[in-house]
Amino acid sequence: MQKYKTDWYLYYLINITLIILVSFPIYWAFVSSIKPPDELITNTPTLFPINPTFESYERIWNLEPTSSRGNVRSAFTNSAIVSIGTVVVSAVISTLAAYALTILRTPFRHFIFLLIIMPILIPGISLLIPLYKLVKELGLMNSYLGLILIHSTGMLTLGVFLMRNAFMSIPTSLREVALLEGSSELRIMFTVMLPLAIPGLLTLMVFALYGSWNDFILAFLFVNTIDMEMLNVFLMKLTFAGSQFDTFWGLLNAGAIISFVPIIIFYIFLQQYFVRGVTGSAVKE
Amino acid sequence: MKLLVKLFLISLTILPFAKTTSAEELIIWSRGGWSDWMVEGFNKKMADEGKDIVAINNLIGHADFQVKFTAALAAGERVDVANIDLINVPYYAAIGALEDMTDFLKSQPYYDQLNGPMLALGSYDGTHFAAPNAADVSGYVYNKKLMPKPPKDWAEMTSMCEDFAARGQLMMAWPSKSYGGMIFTGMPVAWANGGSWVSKDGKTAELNHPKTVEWFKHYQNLINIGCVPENVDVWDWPDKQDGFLAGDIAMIGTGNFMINVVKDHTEKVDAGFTAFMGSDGSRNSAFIGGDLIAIPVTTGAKEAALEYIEYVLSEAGQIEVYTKNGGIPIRADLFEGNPYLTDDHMVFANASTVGDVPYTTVYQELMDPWQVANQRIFAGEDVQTVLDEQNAIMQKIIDAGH
Amino acid sequence: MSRLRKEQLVGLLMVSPALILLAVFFLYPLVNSFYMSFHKWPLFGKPKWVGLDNYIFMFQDERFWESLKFTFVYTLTVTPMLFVVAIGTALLCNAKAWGTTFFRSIYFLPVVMSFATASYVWLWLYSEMYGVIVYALEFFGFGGENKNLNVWKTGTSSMWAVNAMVTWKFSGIQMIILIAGLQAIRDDYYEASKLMGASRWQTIWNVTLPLLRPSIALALILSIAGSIQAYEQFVIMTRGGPSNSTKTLVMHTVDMGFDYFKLGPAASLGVIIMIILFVLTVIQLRLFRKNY
Repeated sequence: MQKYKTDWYLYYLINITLIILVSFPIYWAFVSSIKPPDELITNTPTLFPINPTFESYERIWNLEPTSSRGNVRSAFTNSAIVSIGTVVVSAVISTLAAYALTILRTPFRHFIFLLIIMPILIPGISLLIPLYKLVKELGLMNSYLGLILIHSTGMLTLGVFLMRNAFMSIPTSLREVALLEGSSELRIMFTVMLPLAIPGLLTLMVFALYGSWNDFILAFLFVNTIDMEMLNVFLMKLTFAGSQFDTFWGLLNAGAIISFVPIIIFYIFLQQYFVRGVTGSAVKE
Repeated sequence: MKLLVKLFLISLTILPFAKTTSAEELIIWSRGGWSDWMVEGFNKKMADEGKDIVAINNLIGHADFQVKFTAALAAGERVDVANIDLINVPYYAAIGALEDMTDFLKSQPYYDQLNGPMLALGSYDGTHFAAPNAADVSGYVYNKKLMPKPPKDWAEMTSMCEDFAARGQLMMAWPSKSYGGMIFTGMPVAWANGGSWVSKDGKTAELNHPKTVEWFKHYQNLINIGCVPENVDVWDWPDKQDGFLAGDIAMIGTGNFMINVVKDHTEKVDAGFTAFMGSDGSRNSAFIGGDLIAIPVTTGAKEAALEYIEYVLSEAGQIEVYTKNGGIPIRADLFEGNPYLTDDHMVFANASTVGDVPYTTVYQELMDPWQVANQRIFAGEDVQTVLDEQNAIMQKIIDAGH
Repeated sequence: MSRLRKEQLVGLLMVSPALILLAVFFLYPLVNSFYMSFHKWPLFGKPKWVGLDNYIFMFQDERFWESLKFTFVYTLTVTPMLFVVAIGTALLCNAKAWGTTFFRSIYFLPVVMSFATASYVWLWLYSEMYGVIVYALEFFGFGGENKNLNVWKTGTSSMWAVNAMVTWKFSGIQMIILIAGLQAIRDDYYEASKLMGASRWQTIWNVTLPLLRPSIALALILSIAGSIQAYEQFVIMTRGGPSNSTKTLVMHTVDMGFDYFKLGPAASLGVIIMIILFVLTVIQLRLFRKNY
């Protein structure tokens, strides 16, 4: 680690400049969402809204369901169920797989690991047509389960990778001792190893939530009913009130903020585990 | 951890529950938000008549309709009624994706009154596969605060442009970056001038038609005079629409939906509407965009689907639902005495009777050379050279087929 | 049953849910798509075996080569940008100073925003007449007299504008990977370097970066795989223009499949992208082999 003694002011100057640059676009999206139209489209943009209005948010919040879309609350709930489901399923499956591939002498483990890495080499969008057929034939259209399983498959690469790092950093002696005491493998994993791999697990969960919460294309393709409508699809439908050539900057920005807030909250709670999550250095610190 | 396992098990049990209703369901896929009112109106009518049909509106939106509809057709997904972007209908009709509705349409008393170009786009080899449904008609919108009267021909447009440039003001802008926006609001100006894009049968590219060349030169000239933003070759649809709504640009090409949009911007905009005109101002034209309505061959309720289409085309659907919410009816006999058609709407309604829409089974692929032609010309390249080159590419795509 | 046998069996059982998911939702569509690439595949009716025709069609298509070239240029420019910002912020956050956790959280923040949202937000920031970036640039005199700035004016400027957004959006992920690597480096190395009288830059160059090699390899592999698959940012921000100069490979693939309905050639494009990425990844692994 490096210390900044004599030039600490430079250190903070750089950091504060960067912070302003990095957070500005997010701030601007928020400010744009509460500016009235004539302040939004103007040659002399102001840093703070002069007459802030929460009209866009109210409009989104109060919309009654129509024959083609639900309301924001049901869409929010649906997205939350799919996201939490994905977080849970991918955590369980990735953990089991990573444990088998790193700790146990599973046959073909190198080959299996390569298989699990493979999805990052293929643009998912080019698999959509066969995937659509498959989802339909499996009867997984309009279901939470279908979306959860596909998202969890998408999370496998990163999830197994993170959990593998986490398990690799745990001294093998811990497991040996437990084995001598006669514990079962599953028990050892849950009670001995996993508690030490918590940062990795939480990092995985943040990414699983990020992937499923921000998804548009799967929710768009594999849901046809209003009671199963996901948040991002709901927000998309709002901007299509009129013609295809219409744009609603206010609604667009408000929608962006609405979908951004829950994940930010989740992230703020978990971010302290992030670095340790990637190294898996739970024991060291 | 036990909690996680439990949650996992619970999540597995959350399976879709099949709806159990006795009524016949009619699954409708649509692109625009207005379809809500249509479906609600239809359901009410069915209930009033005691018929056991319930229409379910699945709003797919404009942007990714193609992706989903393509995947769904390939997978044999049931769709009873599809509202398809009209320019893609020739392709779907050509591959046999849509049900024949010739008899149904021809038996309607208003058959002759249906919008001609839209009807033509829905037919293949003399068979009707789709009916006109909702029209998005293009035209100019101008701001009376900046331009008391719109130009009546190209000469007047040019001299007004000189005045604007002298005052350092912007008179016009167009969305060169948006191929859809350019064919919607640019090409009709060439049509009004007698120009062409592709031949009527869609077999020959005619982008370098002399009258189309003339139009491009006219717009390029406006840029050179200086009443058009100098970066117009990379402007997108929102750029010019925002510019107009902020009161910085006097006139833009737009569609009938603008009548509703400007209502939120009365402080800076006092809007007037006028049709696209040719060089001598004697002819008008418009791009007739919007949806055609069709029954995919994957339907499970053809009779009910026809019933819905009948409602959409009826006076109740076209006037009380569609026109009431700002649309232009697709039946010419419903213009007169229509209480919701204001003078502004009539500009577009009249333009729709002389407007056009290109017929081709490879429309999307042609958008590529079309966009390049726009951007190169408005960046200042020689019109004839660019159009000859891009026309050759278009012809190659047409010859390769779908 | 011997202990090894039992362990192998338990291992297979534990990895099987992952394998099942992978087989059903990834390998099956993949094999299908591979199969499609050798057929003329209409939306309806019977597919027809055409051998390598789709591949030949694709290779003879100028649009393929243009998009391939642009995709490489984009990857070659955005990767160093991402890396420089990521290593810079990683070093800043790895210092022994007050507030590093806070800085780190902020630098990572854009990562959690959805990609589409981020693209729209930046499109709005870049707007020529009402965008705040152009306003600021012109305010500081970059516009010149009577000259309006438009970042989408040329293919090159469009690409840099998108690169800036992507750097903002994704450098956080690489930063975290690099910080993790940095924390694994023991303090003695720095002490030794200091004793030898090395300056801060010399220490970074001679001690930190070489020891960070495995993390750098990971960051670069992820960044290159992501860049070759670039799609959303260009669809939303440049629409492939001006004049097709910013059309990416995946964009071309999607156009082929969903806009031109040429499902066979689209499938063959997917296969080609996979091969390109596979080759690139193997090369990178070779280059970084030491210590990996």
